[in-house]
Amino acid sequence: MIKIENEVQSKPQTSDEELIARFQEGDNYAFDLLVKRYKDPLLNFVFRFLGDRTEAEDIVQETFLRLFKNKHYYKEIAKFSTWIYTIAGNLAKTELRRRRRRKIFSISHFMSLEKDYDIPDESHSPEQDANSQITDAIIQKAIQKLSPKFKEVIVLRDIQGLSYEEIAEIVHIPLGTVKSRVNRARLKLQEDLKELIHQE
Amino acid sequence: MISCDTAKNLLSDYLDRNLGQEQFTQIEEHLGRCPECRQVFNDVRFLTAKLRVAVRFSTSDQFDQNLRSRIRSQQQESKPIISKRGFSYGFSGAVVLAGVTFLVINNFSSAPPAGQNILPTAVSARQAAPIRVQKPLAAQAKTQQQIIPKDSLKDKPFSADPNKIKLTGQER
Repeated sequence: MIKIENEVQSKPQTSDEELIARFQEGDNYAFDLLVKRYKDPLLNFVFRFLGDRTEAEDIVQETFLRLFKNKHYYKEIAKFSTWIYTIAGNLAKTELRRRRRRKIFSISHFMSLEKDYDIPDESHSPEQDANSQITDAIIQKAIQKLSPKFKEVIVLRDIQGLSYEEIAEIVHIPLGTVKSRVNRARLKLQEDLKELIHQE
Repeated sequence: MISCDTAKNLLSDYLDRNLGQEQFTQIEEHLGRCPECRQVFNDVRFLTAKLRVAVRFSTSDQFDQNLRSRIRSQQQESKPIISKRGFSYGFSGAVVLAGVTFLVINNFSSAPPAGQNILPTAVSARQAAPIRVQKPLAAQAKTQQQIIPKDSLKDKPFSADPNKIKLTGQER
């Protein structure tokens, strides 16, 4: 076990696919590394999708739990990143549907959103931090107004920085549809955020 | 000259530099003449840059610990109360016990009273066959009286001498 740990630590560029293969063979340390790599990107993806940080964290945990339970379902025909994003995206969409059924989109939602921004980021000055948090809150509000199909692609493309091909794999839609959805989502956001953009 | 709608449809491809030279030039020409589209294109370019540097969140300090405890509790939940091996032994034992019990009960219930012979297999099979409703013996006798055997060839009462009947393939 120590030998494997040392091997993994000495190779910082170990691919995700190699790590999942090791995990499938019973190396739980490889699982830890995958969690370390993906927990923050997935949190940001799910948070942008749902708008609630606590729920987003819960969904990311559930994503890793499913990875742990169903590790043998992963086959190396797809990239690991697209596979894990698909799991997280599906869980987030399920949560969104559940919410819609319960009709909890209300003031409380935006209150919880504001609460999320109370956590200070130590790498910025308080003033910068406040400004960027306000801008971010406005942008997030506009993203929340998009329909799930537009929200998903815009977050993956413009916030997560994934390629169109990767998004097509994650969302299971043709490349052309991804491009057109990203285009329409950008135009919708531009329409909603005109004021903010012109202020900046 | 392309329309505003066409230009807007190609907006992302233009910003991502995914257009061929011809379409790229058409967009440039359009933007040069249409201030409204130029504004939209500039806004979207600004917005995408803003999104790329949007606030990034990190998972809470308890994330790893919570995940570990969730995995642990799930593993405990998925553990069966009786192990698979124990279950298979138990199941085999139950099957054997049920078999033995069946044989014992069957033997006791089908054992004949003392002094009688055990029925032969053929009789047992007949007993096992579906029950048919039979006429009472008196009725059967009456029916037999009414049926008078007739010579099948001459349609006469059966009076032929059996010795004169020559069966097919039977040589005397």
